[in-house]
Amino acid sequence: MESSRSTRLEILQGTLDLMVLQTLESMGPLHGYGIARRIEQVSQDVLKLNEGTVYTALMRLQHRRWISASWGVSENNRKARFYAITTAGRRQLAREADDWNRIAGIMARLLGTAAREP
Amino acid sequence: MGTNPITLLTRLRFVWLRRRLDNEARRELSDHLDLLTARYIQSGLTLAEARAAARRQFGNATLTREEVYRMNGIQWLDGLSHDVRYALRHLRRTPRFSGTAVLALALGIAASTAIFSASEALLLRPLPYPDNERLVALRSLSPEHLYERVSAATLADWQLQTSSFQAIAGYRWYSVDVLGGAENERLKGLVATPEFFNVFGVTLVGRGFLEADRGRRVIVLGHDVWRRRFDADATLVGKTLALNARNFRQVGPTPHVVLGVASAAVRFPPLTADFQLDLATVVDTIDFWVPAFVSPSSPRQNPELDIVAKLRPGVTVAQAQAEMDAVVAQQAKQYPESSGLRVRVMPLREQIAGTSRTGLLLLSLGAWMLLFIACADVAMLALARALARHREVTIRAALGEPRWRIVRQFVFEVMILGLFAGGVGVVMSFFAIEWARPWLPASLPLLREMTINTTVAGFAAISALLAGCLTGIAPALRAGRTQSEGFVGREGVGLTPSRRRTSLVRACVAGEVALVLILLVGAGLLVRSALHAWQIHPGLDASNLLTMNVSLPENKFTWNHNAVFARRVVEAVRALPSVSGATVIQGLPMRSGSFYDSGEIEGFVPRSDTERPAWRIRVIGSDYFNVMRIPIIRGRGLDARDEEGEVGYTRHVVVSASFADRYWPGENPLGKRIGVGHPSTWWMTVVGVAGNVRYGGLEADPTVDLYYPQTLFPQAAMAASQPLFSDTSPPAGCCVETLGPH
Repeated sequence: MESSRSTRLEILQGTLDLMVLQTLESMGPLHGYGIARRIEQVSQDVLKLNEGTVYTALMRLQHRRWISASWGVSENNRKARFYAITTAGRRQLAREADDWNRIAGIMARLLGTAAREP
Repeated sequence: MGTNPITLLTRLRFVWLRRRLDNEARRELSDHLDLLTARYIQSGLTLAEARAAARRQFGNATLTREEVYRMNGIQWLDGLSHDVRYALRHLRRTPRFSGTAVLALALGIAASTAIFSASEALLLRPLPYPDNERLVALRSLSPEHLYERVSAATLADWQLQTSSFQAIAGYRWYSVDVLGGAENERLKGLVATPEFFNVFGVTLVGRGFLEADRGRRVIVLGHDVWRRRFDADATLVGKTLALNARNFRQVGPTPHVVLGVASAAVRFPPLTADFQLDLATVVDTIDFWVPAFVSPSSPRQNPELDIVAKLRPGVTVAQAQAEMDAVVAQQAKQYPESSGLRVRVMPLREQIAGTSRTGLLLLSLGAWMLLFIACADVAMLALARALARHREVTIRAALGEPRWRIVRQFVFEVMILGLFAGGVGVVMSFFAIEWARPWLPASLPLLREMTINTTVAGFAAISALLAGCLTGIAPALRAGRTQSEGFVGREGVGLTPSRRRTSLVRACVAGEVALVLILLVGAGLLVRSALHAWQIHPGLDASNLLTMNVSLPENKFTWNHNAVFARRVVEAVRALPSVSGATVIQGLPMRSGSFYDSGEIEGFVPRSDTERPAWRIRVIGSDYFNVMRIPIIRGRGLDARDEEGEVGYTRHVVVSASFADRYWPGENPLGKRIGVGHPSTWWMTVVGVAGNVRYGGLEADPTVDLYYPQTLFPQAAMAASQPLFSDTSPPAGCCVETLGPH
């Protein structure tokens, strides 16, 4: 936990997209700042990403119509842009989560096997 | 990633909303930064420290914004628009170069566009009839290659004996006056055989002419007349109209039954009708049709019809020509007096456009040469400029811009110049066309339709683009190559002339000189021909001459009234202060509209049918030769007594010198007699010989004329001519007043 504060894992684009989708799915509509905070929270401060990249991810997702954007009012009564996941987005999320888990399983077995060898 | 149509549409929409999205993003990002800053302040940092920390955590906001903006764009389009805007900026900065280039190219484009619009009107645009590629004119030519019209019986024979044509129609000019309403109106139309509607694809409300209509007075009205004068009355078909038409049996209006109305306006086909007051041509619409019925037993002696036919689908002009030759040869055997006639099958467009094709082609070539010269000029200018920008190119290449982009940039610059030049050129050609319009020859009526329409504008655009490309390629390529030469110092590189560059310039100059020479020689030849034409003396003096068209309503008065009326008109006009002389003639010089006739001549025996005496009739008032300054070579002109036409007084006529030379060569023609008709029962005596006049136009030979005093030929409706010696006063207006009440 200590060294991880200075750890900056490089996140691939696609992974960040997945994270944003999942965030919106579990938290409901959020604005960009909120998404960044949630990711920070969930990753327990391990991941320090440039928060600006969230916005490029959001634009990418909007292009694919996996999320939609609308204007709303934030907690401090300011006008802010809220993003919400769409039906197509949910489907994509399910697919990618599935892929991710499968790959994770394979990697775990690979690495587990490697560790076992003398 | 993301090439399915939904993504594409969304992305396009985002491209459209780019600016707005960028504005929103700016707000979003700044709000995010504010919130981050607030958090850091809460955890104890100062404002400045908090801001810095927020920025660090966020990353480069401007970069994010730029990246998002770029995501919402189409990359190649962005590159293109950037290049174009850069080019525009550069052109604005060098106004002298840009201005010169645009002007030079515009002149070239204007010339080619103007000539093209003439070609388009005359040669390219389809004639305003359905299936116009299948329409042919059957031109009958006399042995001297003069155009002859065809008699009714001959047309009937052709209709029966040929199979290449879907329909053959005969027609000639006709006019009637329609009475009633606010004012009477003279309508211009045709006497036509019933096949006319078939040949020209005229759709009718009601019906056309049938055999059953033979002998009846019927009429089919044109679309414009129906709309204008009858207010598009839907019940007009079947009604009877009172019209003043040629009716030998009675004086006064003749009732005509309206059989049908054309559902669209129909333009006049080519006409060679003899007596016309207004030459109606392919640009005018037909007001009405009255029927002519032909059969092999119709009169064979009076050629009066123009013939147009529609080829059967699949039949070529050559095949039709072969058939017509055979039929004509057959007829020559049967009717020997018509031997020597040939019939030519000519596509209708050729008949209308005439021999203009060659001329237009030459003019087009000339205009394109002009354009090439302009392009070469601008290319050299562009080349010089591109070399002067050597430093800029080297820097850009050093910054990593690929060579093709640099070249593309230069090409764009010249192409934009080309497009501007295209726009200016189109405007210039528009004005050129409008300026030239009053000077267009009347013998090519289709030229009046010359205008800048979509086709012509398209041509101008393509020429502009091509000119731009042509001009820009060489300098651009040359510019792209300069990066490999020398280094970038403060003063730039010393431009040592490379062999390649000099040869390009030399090629341009040589090409230009060659083209300019060709153009100059061509122009010189044209000017010489024009001067030559000007020097041809028409035979009369037309300076200070004004003409006026006067006609009486057909069938309202008896014919003899024509002469009386004419005399009154001449007297009234002569009384005007600015007029020094006035006279009348039927059929103005240099325009068609005179009768011709044939007969026997005392002392001349024709050796064959082709030598049978024929002449053009000029019906004139007594002062004609004086007013028109036509010299009287022998004898005298016609005087008032000839014009009176007392009973028992010899009928005097004047002949032209060409007439006298042809029929009484070497003899004194005064006192000789001329008879009308075969055999002649009606004789006139020659009382004078007048100088030749080129009534047919400056390029034609002088016509063989016989001058009749008015009383001999009162059937003619007439035109009046009057000379003016002063420039003041608008005589036309005051003449109308004087003549008004009639």
